[in-house]
Amino acid sequence: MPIDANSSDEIIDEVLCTTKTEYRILLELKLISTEFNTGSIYIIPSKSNSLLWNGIYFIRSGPYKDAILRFKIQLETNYPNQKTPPELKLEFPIEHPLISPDTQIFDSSHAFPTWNESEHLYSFLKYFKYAMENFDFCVNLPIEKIINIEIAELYKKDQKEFKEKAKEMIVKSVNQIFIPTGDENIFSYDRNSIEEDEEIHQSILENMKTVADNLPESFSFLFDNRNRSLH
Amino acid sequence: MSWLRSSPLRQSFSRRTQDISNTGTDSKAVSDSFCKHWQQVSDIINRSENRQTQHDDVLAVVNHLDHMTTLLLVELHNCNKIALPNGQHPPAPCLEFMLSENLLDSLYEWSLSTGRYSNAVRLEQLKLYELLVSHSRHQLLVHEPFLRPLLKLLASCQNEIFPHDVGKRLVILLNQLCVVLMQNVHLLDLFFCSTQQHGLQMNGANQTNFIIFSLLIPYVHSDGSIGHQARDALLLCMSLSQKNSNIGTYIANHSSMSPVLVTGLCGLYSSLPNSIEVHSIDWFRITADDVNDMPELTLFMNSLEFCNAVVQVAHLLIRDQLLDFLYQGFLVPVLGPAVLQTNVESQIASMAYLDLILRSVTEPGLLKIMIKFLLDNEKFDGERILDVLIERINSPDSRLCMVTLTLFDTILGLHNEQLMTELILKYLIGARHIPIAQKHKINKIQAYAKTVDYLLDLAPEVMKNSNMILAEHKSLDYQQSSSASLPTHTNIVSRTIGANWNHYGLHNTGESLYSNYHAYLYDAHQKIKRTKYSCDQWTDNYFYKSPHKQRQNAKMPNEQLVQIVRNFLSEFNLDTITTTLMSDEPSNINNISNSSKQLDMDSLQSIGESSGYESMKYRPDEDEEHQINSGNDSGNQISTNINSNITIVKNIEPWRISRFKDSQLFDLEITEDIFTQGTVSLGPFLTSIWSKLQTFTSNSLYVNLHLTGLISHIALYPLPLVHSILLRPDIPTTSDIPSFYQVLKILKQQIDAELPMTEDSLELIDIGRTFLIDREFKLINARKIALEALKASNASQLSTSQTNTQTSQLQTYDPFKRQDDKRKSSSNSIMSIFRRTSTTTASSNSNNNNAGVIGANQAQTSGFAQIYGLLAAGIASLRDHQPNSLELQTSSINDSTGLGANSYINERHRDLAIAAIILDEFLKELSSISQEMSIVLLNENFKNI
Repeated sequence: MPIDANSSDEIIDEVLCTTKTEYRILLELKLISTEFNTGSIYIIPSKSNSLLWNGIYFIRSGPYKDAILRFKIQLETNYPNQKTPPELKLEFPIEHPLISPDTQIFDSSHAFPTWNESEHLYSFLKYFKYAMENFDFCVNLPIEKIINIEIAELYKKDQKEFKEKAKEMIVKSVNQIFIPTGDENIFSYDRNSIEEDEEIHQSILENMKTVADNLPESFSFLFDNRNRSLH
Repeated sequence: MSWLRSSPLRQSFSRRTQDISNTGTDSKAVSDSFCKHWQQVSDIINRSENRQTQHDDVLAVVNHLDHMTTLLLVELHNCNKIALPNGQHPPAPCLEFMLSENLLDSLYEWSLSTGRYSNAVRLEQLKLYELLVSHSRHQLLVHEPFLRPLLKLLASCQNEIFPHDVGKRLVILLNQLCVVLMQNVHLLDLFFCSTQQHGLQMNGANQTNFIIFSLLIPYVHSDGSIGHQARDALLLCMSLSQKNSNIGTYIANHSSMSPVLVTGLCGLYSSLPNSIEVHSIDWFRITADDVNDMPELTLFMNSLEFCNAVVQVAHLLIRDQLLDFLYQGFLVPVLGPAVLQTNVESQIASMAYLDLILRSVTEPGLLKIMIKFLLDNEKFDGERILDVLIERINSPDSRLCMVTLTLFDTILGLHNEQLMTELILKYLIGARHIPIAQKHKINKIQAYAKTVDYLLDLAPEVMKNSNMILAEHKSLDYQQSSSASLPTHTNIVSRTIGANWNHYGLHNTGESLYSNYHAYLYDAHQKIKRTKYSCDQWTDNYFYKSPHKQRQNAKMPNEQLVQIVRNFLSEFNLDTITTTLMSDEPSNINNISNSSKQLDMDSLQSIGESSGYESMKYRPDEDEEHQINSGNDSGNQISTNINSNITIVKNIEPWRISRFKDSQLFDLEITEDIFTQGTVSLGPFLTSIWSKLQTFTSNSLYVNLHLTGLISHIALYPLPLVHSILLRPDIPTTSDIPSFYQVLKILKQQIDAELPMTEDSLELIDIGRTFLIDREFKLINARKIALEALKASNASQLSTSQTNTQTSQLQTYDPFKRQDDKRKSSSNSIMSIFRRTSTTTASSNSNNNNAGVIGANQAQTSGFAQIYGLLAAGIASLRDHQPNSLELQTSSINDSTGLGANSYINERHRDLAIAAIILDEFLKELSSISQEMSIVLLNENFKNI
């Protein structure tokens, strides 16, 4: 006896709708926590709003290898039934063919022209990661899909200059993550403890990595005034 | 030892010593006085050699001994205060005098001649020894002048029947000795094999003897504190048996421990009432309070608890022996026939006892023989107890039905793999109840999230409307009150966040849990967590495993293989291919994979998948992997190739690849199951439950509460195979009985037809709801009152029979067990009250161990505060202060709901309204379980990959 496709229309209970969105978010988070290798992308929902996610991305390959990017993902209240993919906004103005230089919003329209409930956020994030690490893929996309044409052109024409520019941005991006922000559930780091020592930096990052790996086990966040842990 | 703290002896001792030590007595004066007293005793003893002991003599000796005891205490007290640096003990002249002069031995020898006063003298000696053993830091036991008379005294106690006070003192002394031995295991041998070493005549027995143990055995079944202390001491001996295997061998081979325990247990079970007087229509189980209230049951439970404890601490030899005796001597000849009786009253009683036993037993070894008992199909004329119990689910007697459902709830609460296999899993493994083309869905956890819509849609129409009206009212109320109360409200939230959230995620007391979906989710969350924790210890996770994987090495004859492929393909109406296939020689089998390339991708997908989003799980590397896995097996090759074709056609973008591979798209079920479609049994247990569910609208409210509770309990197991019939309406089943959803759908239709959406119906629902919510609050209040009454009666020590009856009747309902589907509707305060109650009960009966165990067990197996199910009669009696008039109140709906007052309302409609509400809540409960499950089980299948 298959599910009647229209049955959901009859559900008018507001609580239930919220609940369904919440459970979907839990599901997405659990998928993300298992889909990504350690040391790449970590996600934690904002303390006050489960639809706003804080993320951090340690780039491990590609021209921006070693950069660290903080970003936010905004889901719509009717998630997963929103029509367009979630908005991913970077906190650091890194130059990338698919990232708007003005708004720093990542354009995923090539992979996700639309969004529906069968899509999962981990594949959205995987696409983001793929795009960040594969410039060749990005610059060869149809021209209308490329948002930052300048950097795409530079990558194609002058590898030397591009590499210098990339290096500069990598350093800047790492510095950026020390700036604290308001949200309690955000990835931030204490500069004083790091200083200039490369070794400490590395060990702290390693440490961070393990902490972040264990996060999904322990972190709790606010769901409609409910405290619950992910597992 | 807790008993010591409350012992009057200890109290008087500390009082006395305090007085004396404060005066700064010097030790010389003490020892002089001591010697003087002894001199006088000695005179009397010497005198008695020539004449009959007189009353006055004994009195004088006792008196002197009393003084000597006091003086010894003073000395010991002073000694214990001083610590010499070299670890030596400070001088204790009295003690030394006593030992050097062999006072104790003289005393013992004299005591033999005291004739009818011997018990009084013995009592005095026992006191003296007990005092010395417990309060001296000196290792007196190694001193011959101390040990020898002690052993003589103990030996003389054998085979004697003492008045209560002597027996009690003896047990206390033995208990003390056990405590000392626990701390000094090397002293054990002094009490062991003592016969020859000390040349004592013990009933002419020359065998090994552990005298402490054999003296304790007669007291094992005793009532009251003496029994507790004896059992306490015996348990210490049992623990000793783990440190010293001589003890273990002795107890197992030479003592009558196990037979005594088991025969005692049998005797006590036999004395239990053969029928339980049930005063209320919703009674369903024996609670800890009932145990305390029924002396026979208290004794039995004490004994059982003791067996449980022995199994826990004793030497392996003793443990195995006791378990064997219990099985052969109690379970098979006593409990089994009791359960199998034909009289309904006796059945109810014996099932309630069985339920109580199952809830109280905590030791794995004991639990194991209980399970063996349930599953034994040899000892009871080929009948299996479990099967007999299953039959009773459909008993026409609603009390028997409720007790049975409760018993199964207890059984499910054990989270035992073997029992679950016997009840449910063995009928579902292999998923023969699911069409081949659907089997791949079983482990797809994400689909659980969709169950919610389907289940909630099955709610009766009248409930949907009623809920809508209710929601509108609520939101209106909220808008009106929100402006005024908002600030305080947020305050509360911020203060309590993360701290005071109870089981139901609520912090607002005094609120009904009726229809509170969040509470259902919380409840599901907690229970699933607990259940999963237990099930993680199982040998298997019982996810669906295709025979394809299980039988990789099985070689299939080609002819059969062709037949199977033919069946498989014909199921999808792939006529052309089937034709091709049929004309093919078996040796051309590889052509099949080529032909399958012609398959229209869309049609294949629509067969395999109900929704598109699972498609991202196809992996390009599945191809390679399957080639390796199934290289030897041509049968598997086919399915592999079919799979890989699909994989190849679908060009997967790298970001859509999951790290976890999903079970393959199709399983070629190389099994005869294909031919048995439609006749697959889900097993007697589920069949019985389904058939009880089919009569939902005519079952009593309380039966329905337990029934729906049991079904939810089954759903709480993290087993996708079980969920395939409970939480997966997207998976059709081909069992020989209507599917769960078909049953639910019929119920909905039935209620919709008989209770159409009219004003009258809505009003009925309203009345029913009010009844249930009233019941919830009555329970809270009743529980509060009961607790206060209990407290008051405890405090004033005025346990008048009336209070006792009242509280016990009130507590006859088990707050933790399902009495109503709307248990979620209990407010958090109820929950905590109930929780507290169980612990209070346990601790207030700290010397009544079984109550504690039951309490703990309840708290463990049941997170559910079953509110509504409280004995309405119990409340009524409390309110009316007429504890003995329960029978008058039994028809709770009629009497306490006000439903009966509306005489114009048809009774059937009233029952239907209640049934509709229960069904509505049940669906909410199930859908919350499915939502929680969708998170908990996600990727669980791949955890170990």
